[in-house]
Amino acid sequence: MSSTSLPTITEQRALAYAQKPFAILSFLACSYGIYYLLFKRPEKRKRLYHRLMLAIFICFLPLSIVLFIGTWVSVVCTYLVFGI
Amino acid sequence: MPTPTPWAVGEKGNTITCDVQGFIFSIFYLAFPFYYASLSIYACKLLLLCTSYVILYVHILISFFSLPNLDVGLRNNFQEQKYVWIEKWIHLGAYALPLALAITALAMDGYSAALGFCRNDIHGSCDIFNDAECHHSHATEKYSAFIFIIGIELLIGTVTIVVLLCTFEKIQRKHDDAIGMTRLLEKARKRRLKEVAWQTGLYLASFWFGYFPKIIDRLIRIFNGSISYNLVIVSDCIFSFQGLIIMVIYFVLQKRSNKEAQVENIIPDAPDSERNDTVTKIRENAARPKRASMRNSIRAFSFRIFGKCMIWICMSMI
Repeated sequence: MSSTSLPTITEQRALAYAQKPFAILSFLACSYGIYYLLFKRPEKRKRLYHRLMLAIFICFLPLSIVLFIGTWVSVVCTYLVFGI
Repeated sequence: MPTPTPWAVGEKGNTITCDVQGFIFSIFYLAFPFYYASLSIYACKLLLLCTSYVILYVHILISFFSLPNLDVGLRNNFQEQKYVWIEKWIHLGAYALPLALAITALAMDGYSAALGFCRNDIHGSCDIFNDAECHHSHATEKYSAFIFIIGIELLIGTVTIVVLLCTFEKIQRKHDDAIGMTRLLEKARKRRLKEVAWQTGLYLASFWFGYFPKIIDRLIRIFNGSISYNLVIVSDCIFSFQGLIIMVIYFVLQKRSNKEAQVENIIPDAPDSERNDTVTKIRENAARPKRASMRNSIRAFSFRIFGKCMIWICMSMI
C-alpha cells in the first residue's frame, strides 16, 4: 500500500522488527564464512577469489549487526523515523 | 520537551549510539556493493580503473568505448599472480569514499533515526522531534547519493558480465577455428571463462535481488512522491538476507567446482597456478612423475596397444 501519510503502528513495528530474523541468519552465515576461510580452510586464502569472499563476509558482518539492532539504539522519544 | 509517541518502537538509545550505528552502517553499506562488483576481477579490468570512486565516474564512460580490451583475466590467461596487485586497490576503493562520507556526515549533522535504523537522511533544517511532515517531504524528494553510487556499482558488475559473455562468444568462434594443441588450449580457456561467467553472474543476480526492491522504493519516492512502507519493509528484509544468500552461493559453487576438479584432474597434481596454461607448462607437467594409482592402472591394462609413446602423448594432452 503506497502511502503519503505517516506509518501506522503496525507498519512502525514491522519496520523495527521484520528484518531482525533475516539479519540474525546473515550474521550466522557470515560468521561461518569467516571461520571457514580463516581457520577451517586457510589454504583457500591463497586465491584472490576466496580473499575477496572473505572481505565480503567481513563487510556484511557489521551490517547484519546494525540491521539486527535496528531502532533499539535510536534516540529515546524520537517522534518519527524516515529515510531508506 | 518532546512527547513520547506510541509508535516509536523499541527506542532506547541516545545520540551517541545513534551516531555509532549510522557511522558503521554508512561505511559498510557502501563498501559491500563495491566488493560485489570487484568479484568481476576475474574477467575485466574495469576495476583496474576503480582505484577511487572519482576516477571510476570518469572512466566508466571511457570503458564503454574500450570494451574489447577489458579482459585482463583472459589476456593473462587467468594467471592470478599477474593481476593480484589490484587487490590492495579494491580494499582501498571499497573503504576510502564511504569512510570520507561517514566522517563528513558525522562532523556536519550527525546521524538520526531513519526508517528502521539511524542514518544521515534526516535534514538538519527540520525539527527532529516535532516536525514529522518536514522529514516526510524530504524523504520523498531526496536523491540519495548512496543509491547513485550503488547504481554505478551495479552497472559495473552488469557490464562486466555482458563483456564476459561477448568474450565467451569470441573464444567460442576462435575455438571452432582452432586445430591441434591450440584447440586444446582454447578449449581450456573457454571452460574457465564459462565457469567464471557463471560464478560472477550468480553473485550479480543475488546482488540485484538484494538491491532491486530498494531501487524501486527510491524511484517510487522520487517520481510518485510517496513512501510505500510495505515495500520498505520487504526491501529491508531482503537486504538483511543477503549475507546468507552469499554464503549459500559460495558453498554451492565450491561444491560444484570440487566435483569438476575430481572429474578433470585425474593426472595433474600441480596447483591451480601451475596448471596447463601454456605449451611449456603442458610439457613440464607431462615430464612430472605420474601418480602411483595412475601408473598401476596403466600396468593393469592387459592390452597396451598404443605403447608408452602413445600414453605419454595422451597424458601430455590432458
